[in-house]
Amino acid sequence: MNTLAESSTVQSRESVKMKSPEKEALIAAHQREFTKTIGEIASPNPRIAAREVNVYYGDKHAIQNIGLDIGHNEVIALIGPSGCGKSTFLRCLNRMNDTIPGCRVTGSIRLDGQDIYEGGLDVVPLRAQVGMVFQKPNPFPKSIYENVAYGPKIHGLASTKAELEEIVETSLRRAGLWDEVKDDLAKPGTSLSGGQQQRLCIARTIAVGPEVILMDEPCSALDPIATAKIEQLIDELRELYTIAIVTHSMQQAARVSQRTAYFHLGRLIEVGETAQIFTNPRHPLTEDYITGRFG
Amino acid sequence: MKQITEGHVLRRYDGELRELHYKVLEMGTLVLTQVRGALGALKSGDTELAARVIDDDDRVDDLEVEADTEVVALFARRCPKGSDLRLVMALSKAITDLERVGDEAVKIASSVERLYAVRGDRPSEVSLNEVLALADTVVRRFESSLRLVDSWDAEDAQRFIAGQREIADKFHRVLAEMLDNGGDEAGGPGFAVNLVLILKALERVASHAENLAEYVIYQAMGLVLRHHAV
Amino acid sequence: MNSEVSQVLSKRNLDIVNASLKRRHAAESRFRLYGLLSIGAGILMLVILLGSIFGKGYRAFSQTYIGLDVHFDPAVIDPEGLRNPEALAGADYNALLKRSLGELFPEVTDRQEKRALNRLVSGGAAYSVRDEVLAHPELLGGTSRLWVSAGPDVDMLEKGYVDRDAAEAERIMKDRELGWVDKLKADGRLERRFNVKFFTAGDSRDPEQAGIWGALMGSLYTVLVTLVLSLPIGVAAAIYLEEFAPRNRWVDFIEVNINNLAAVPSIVFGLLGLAVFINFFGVPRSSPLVGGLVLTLMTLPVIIIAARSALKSVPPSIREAAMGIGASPMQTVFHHVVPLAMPGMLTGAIIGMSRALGESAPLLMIGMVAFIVDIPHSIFDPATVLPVQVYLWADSPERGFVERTSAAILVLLAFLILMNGTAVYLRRRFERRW
Repeated sequence: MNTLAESSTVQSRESVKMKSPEKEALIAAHQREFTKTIGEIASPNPRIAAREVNVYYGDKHAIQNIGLDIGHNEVIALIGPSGCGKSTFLRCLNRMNDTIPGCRVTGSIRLDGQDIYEGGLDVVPLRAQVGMVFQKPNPFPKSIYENVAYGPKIHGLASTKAELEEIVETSLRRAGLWDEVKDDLAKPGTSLSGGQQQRLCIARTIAVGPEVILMDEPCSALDPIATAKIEQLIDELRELYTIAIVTHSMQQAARVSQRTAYFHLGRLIEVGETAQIFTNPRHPLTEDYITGRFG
Repeated sequence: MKQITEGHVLRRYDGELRELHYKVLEMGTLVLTQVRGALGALKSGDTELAARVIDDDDRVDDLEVEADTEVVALFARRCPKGSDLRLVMALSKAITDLERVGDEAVKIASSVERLYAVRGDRPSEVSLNEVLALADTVVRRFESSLRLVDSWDAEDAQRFIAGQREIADKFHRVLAEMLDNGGDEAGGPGFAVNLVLILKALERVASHAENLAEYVIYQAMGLVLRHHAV
Repeated sequence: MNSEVSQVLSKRNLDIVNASLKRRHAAESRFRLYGLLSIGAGILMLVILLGSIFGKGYRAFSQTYIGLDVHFDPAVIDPEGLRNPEALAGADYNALLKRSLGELFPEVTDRQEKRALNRLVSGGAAYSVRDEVLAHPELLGGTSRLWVSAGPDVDMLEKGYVDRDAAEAERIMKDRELGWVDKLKADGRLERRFNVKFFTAGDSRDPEQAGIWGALMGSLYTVLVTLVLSLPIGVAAAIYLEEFAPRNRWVDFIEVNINNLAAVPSIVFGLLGLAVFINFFGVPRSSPLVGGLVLTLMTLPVIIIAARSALKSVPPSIREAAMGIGASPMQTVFHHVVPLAMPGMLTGAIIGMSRALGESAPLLMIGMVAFIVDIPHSIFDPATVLPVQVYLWADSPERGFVERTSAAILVLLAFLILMNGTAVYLRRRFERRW
């Protein structure tokens, strides 16, 4: 199975060299066959629908032909070894890859039916719709209040001070942080503990009213209790938002997600119900990864 | 073929799974010896052998406790996933089945003690041979089910389950015959009752052997076959 | 590996480690010693430098004054009796001073001796008498004791630069003159006072009349022009290059050139300023404006490089955080990145400003080396700057300028320390932890 994956990267390297359209079409067709995902990629009620997404960093084919739906009020976990493209795929969903020079994305990603890679689409409202929480808690070096209020301010979501205060309070409440910080809103965000900082970042994301929240290994820098709090929060937020989470912890993927997608060397190997993926994966690569036999 | 427990990046995990696997196989071998001993006693009328079989059950119980502890430790420490999870689940269930088989061997041995309680008194050869012939088949099946737990070969397991119907028919035939003649053939109603009990125990053993085969299929394919006729 | 083997092995390893330990400790303490020595040498050099400058320069902060009973004879300074300020300003005050001196030493009659006697008082003393009269016209006709600057020779004698024991022919002051000075001293007519003039006057040919105020103001205006031009331009260029510019060959080319400009000898900028600003654009020569423009050219690369590295050091997670909630690139940069990079940018700017303040070579090319007596009042007036003033005085033959050179250097250093102190204060204020 490993040789299969290797030969596919060789394939992609060759495809970069060849220019003739017939050959390219042939290779594309071959690759579609080659990069077929096991399991149901479609969702009955998709919020995000990605089809045939390819990402190139210069000559490197980082993501090959990925198709995946993310349903309403669903938590989907993206797992896989380092460098498998899961974070790259996640960053495609709110076009954070735009900032990386030499990065090229092909295929279609639709958010509520609207292609987000369509020419002329502004990324600013997109990023308000599709928020992102990062690996390292990264509050602004400002007060807790300012951290949460910044997003609504730049988007003009509040017309009066009272409205802004209400948004801040609601966001902090939803992030489960209000009771801990309501008396210290003027304190710098960086003075909080790591777990609180991450919840502050989640509150900051919620404050601009997104539909989708992307989380890139949100708990990798946190202790187990703080992690559990974030996981509980994710479970609560599922009622209101669609969540895609990249994680290195299979335990965490198993705990928080309804569906799990396994990435390997830029391909989406297998998607399925989380319970099925973790008890009875169908692809040997998934099996090796989740049982700890990878490598 | 590569061992089913091998290949983890964390090699101690391999060892722990293998240890549990061996413990289950050891338990199976012990139980098999018990069944064989009980049937040998039935054949030869050796009540001392039967008493030894009953005593040996303690060892089976000890092994069961040990194996269960290992299963719990594996869940706590390794959080098995995928095929490992199914393997541990299969082994854990196999432990219960093997312990039951041990109990059935004890039942047979007790019946043997009762059959030969009066010196010189024996059941009729015809009935005894019929039961022994059936017992032979059951022991062979149990033995091959143990081999399945060793090899984890799902295809063999499927074939094994396919042969279950045949043995069930045999049971019905022998039991029906014995009931037809009201135990006269067996050499008296006392003999007949004990022989029926032994038959019942043998049937349970065969059924546990089938369970083992089902676990092998579950491990290999993630399918739950229990309670579904194949 | 069994435990016995590992134990033996670790024991042997321990021996090897112990054997090399002494050598390693020795190497470490040697290195520390070298470090201490070099720091010590640096501090010693600094102490010697500052000591010699201060030793030479501190005397310039005092000046010898001679007290003279001046009779404000209306016949001499206001012959028409109109008390017309213009007439008063143009009168011959030297005559009054000569007469006062003559009254003190009536025995001096010889023409040559009289000239020597008059040299006891500074050539500029007449101006202070004039200023006194203009400020207090009621003095006219009366007599009052005025303290006027002593001549350079008297000043030098008082500050101990003249060896009384040397042969008369080798002395700048003859026995006769020494006698006059001693008599003045005995009469309590000779005093050393704080040299206010040094801080308030412009340049002069006479050391006792020369001050640094003109150069100080020139420096201030020049640095102000430099700051106002180079800080916004440099920071804006750095932000554009670092945050917005596409990565291509042109930007690489510009980057290389900025780095090269930082290494260009400063006099080249002076030539450029002469050719472009003065000859082509006709900016007034010797003015702080043209000086500031030239120094801006020189400082820009330093500021750009420092600002870019400050921007680079802002953690990318902050940018990601802002982008992630939908801030535009512009908002990201100005709301989050620039405030965090501010301390680093300011440091770079202050380093650039300090360099500009201490620079003299390019300013020589644009005429700021001229002898300018007037104190500049705007960036268009001819001016000179502190380092150039130091250069000019160091070049002067008069003995009195030696100590003034050192004193000017001390003032320049104080100026620099003040600027750096401001920089540290600003940085502390802007600095935030994240």
